[in-house]
Amino acid sequence: MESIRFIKRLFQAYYKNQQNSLPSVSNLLEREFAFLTWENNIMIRHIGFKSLDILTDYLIHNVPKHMYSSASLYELPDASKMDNKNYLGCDLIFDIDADHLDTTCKEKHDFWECESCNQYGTGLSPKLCPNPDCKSTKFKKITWICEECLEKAKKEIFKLINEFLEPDFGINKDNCFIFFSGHRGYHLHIEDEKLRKLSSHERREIVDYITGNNISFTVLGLEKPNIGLGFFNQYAAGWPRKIMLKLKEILSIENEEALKNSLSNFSLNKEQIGTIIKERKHIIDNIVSQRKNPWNLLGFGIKSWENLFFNLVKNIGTDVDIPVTIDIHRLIRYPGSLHGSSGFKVVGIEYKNLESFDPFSDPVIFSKKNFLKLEITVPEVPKIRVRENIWGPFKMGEVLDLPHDIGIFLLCKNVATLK
Amino acid sequence: MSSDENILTSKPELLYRFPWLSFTKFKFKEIGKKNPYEFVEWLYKKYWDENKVDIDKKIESIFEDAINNLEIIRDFDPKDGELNIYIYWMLKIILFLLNNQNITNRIANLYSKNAKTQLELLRDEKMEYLYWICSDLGLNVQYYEDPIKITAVEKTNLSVHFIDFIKMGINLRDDYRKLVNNSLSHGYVFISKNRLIRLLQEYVRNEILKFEKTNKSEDDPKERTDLEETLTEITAFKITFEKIKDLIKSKKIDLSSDYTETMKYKEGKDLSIFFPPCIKLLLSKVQQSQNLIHNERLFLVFFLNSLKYPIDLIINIFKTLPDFDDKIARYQIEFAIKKGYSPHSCAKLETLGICQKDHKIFGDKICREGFYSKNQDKIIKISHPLFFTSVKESRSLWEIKKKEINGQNITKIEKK
Repeated sequence: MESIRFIKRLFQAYYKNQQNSLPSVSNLLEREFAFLTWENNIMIRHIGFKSLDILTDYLIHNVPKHMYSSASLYELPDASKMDNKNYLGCDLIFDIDADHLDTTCKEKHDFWECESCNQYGTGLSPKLCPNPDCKSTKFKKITWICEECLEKAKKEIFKLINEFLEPDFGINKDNCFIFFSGHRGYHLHIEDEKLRKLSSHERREIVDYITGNNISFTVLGLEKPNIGLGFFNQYAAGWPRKIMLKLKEILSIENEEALKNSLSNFSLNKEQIGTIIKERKHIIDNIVSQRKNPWNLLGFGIKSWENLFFNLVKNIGTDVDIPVTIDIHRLIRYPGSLHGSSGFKVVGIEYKNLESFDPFSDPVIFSKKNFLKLEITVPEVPKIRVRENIWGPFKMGEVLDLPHDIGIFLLCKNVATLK
Repeated sequence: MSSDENILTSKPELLYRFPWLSFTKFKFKEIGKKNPYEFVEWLYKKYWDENKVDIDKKIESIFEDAINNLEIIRDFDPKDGELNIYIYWMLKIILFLLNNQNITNRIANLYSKNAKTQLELLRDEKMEYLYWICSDLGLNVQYYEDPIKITAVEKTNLSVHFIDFIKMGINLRDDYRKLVNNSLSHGYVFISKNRLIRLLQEYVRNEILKFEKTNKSEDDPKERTDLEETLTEITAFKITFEKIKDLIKSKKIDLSSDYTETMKYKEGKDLSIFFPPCIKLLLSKVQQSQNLIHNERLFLVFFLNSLKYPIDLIINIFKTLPDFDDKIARYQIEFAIKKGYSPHSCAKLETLGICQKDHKIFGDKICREGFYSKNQDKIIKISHPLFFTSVKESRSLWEIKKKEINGQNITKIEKK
């Protein structure tokens, strides 16, 4: 409790400082607000604010752990029943969460601890505690963040904008509002009147396009490889073009070993890889030519093409959190608010600054000059960079004098308590 | 292409062929601005009294074609000129008065199929016509003088903005309408004539489905009865309207929706295979002795109770929960059952974070995308977990029936 009181005091000081500078979301009056309390993690929602000043006052007086505003606009955002709010539309939201991304670092820095016997391990928690005398199914899970996973999340945002939203959907990157969530990923908001009117089912079409889900190679022309793969070449639009450009990029790898390695990521067997390598010049010629071209290779039939394309699609698609985009009543972290599980700020980032944005420094608002004493309460705390300093790893029971910037992070992550 | 080139101004025959175009309201605005009484009275006077055109028969024939699920309106002839537009407006009035979803669906199906046939007749003419038709309907389309290759064999002069493309095709079930399977570039989907016509057909169908309601009538049912009272003062209209009502009666149209039977618990019958993903996940959590939050427990009780699961069986299900207390659980479950609450709707479940349509293991395509109803010729969305269960059961029964039929056929062939 003491730790929470301490964090709350610092959060409150931050919100006091924001009195005239807390960013406003568009259509503030039409958005629902929600807050999660530090005590018991209770969600308080269905709140509306008449002005930014009143909202800031609320934050100073209540100091929530997490703060959200709705992606939707409502006539009556504070109505307690969803049906009575009179839905007006919803921003198009994409969420890229490092948690959902396929990264190897998770195995190193995420860990679990058995709630019964305190056995712990790294990676995903098992279904049953491996301790033969315990076999409990309850675990405390701690997910961590590192340069690798947040860099991957950032790359996904770039991919989303530069390979899908701008070239295919015609959405200018300047109309994409990017936010660092304050913890594990990035959000992208698009505020467009026509997009706001899309239903949940209609938003799924956009998500399917971006992820490549439900793609039909038959519809796209993969029917008769002996006469050509429909319109699969680099001059096509949409997915056929993406698939072909990716294939060309892979086949252009000159070193044969490296090429083999690359192709092995696409679920091809040795013979199929051999065929592709043997015929690579022929395939590249087909990709760059506009004529109807024969794609049938000995030992590489239509099923093989389908399998290869399917795996290429998985590689090309963007890893967005699907339920977030299709949910038209979603609550999203409020820009400028503090994330209660990290103490980092939710930061709006202009596209031109995204490349240089440092998620371990730019959203850190607590001082590196003030110190606090804390004790580590979990078996192991992986190392982490905050600003320019790398901290950890720490072990259970270690008592440390740390600057506020890393100290608050550890307290918010619930891996330490005030000493 | 500039607006003064609008082909619809110089080619009124397109309006006669496509009476659902919005330009008709502009072109015939003097008639369009009449109130329903004035319009109906004027129509009978002009066509029946002055020209002896049997409007009764024309309208009746449309209803007959619709009820018989025909592909075209037999009596439809673009040479009938403006009358086609007025008949279309009359249908709007009659469907509103009938307030019969099944009939509206059938008229919508018939008119949209007729629209497709008429649009296909344009196929050999310039694609430009399709551009003007789409623009007239408020669709964001682009026209290219030089056709653009979209597949190995197809070219097109048209592209549709992706938002309109999605909206027009959202209720269609074929893979062709999916955005991911189309050529999308800079916000526009390059679309072949055939596929565009299919989307326009769907557009017309949706427009007619709106006839049944006006914004006002949802709140004020009196609007409908008042209008009927007023219009039936016109004897000719009264005769037409009565004839249509008799026709519907005589055809005994099944007004029930596709799935009406409610499934009930029966000892020895495993209903869980028909359960929606949300319930499957909750049951799996319970089996693994994971705690459920309050809303999840309530929802599970309401759901099982709706299927008439015996109370002891419901309590048994909860017994594996870590904090299970027989007395408290019995009291709470009995209280919930006594209150007779029904399970939450899908919309509510989404808000509560209980919906699992996208769950990796239990997620279900029907939950996400709905299912195709042959009767209604459209995609029906799942709005309630009990509806899902009922759909799944009906489908399973249908599969069994189909197998039986196939089995009989095989037997017959073998006997031959």
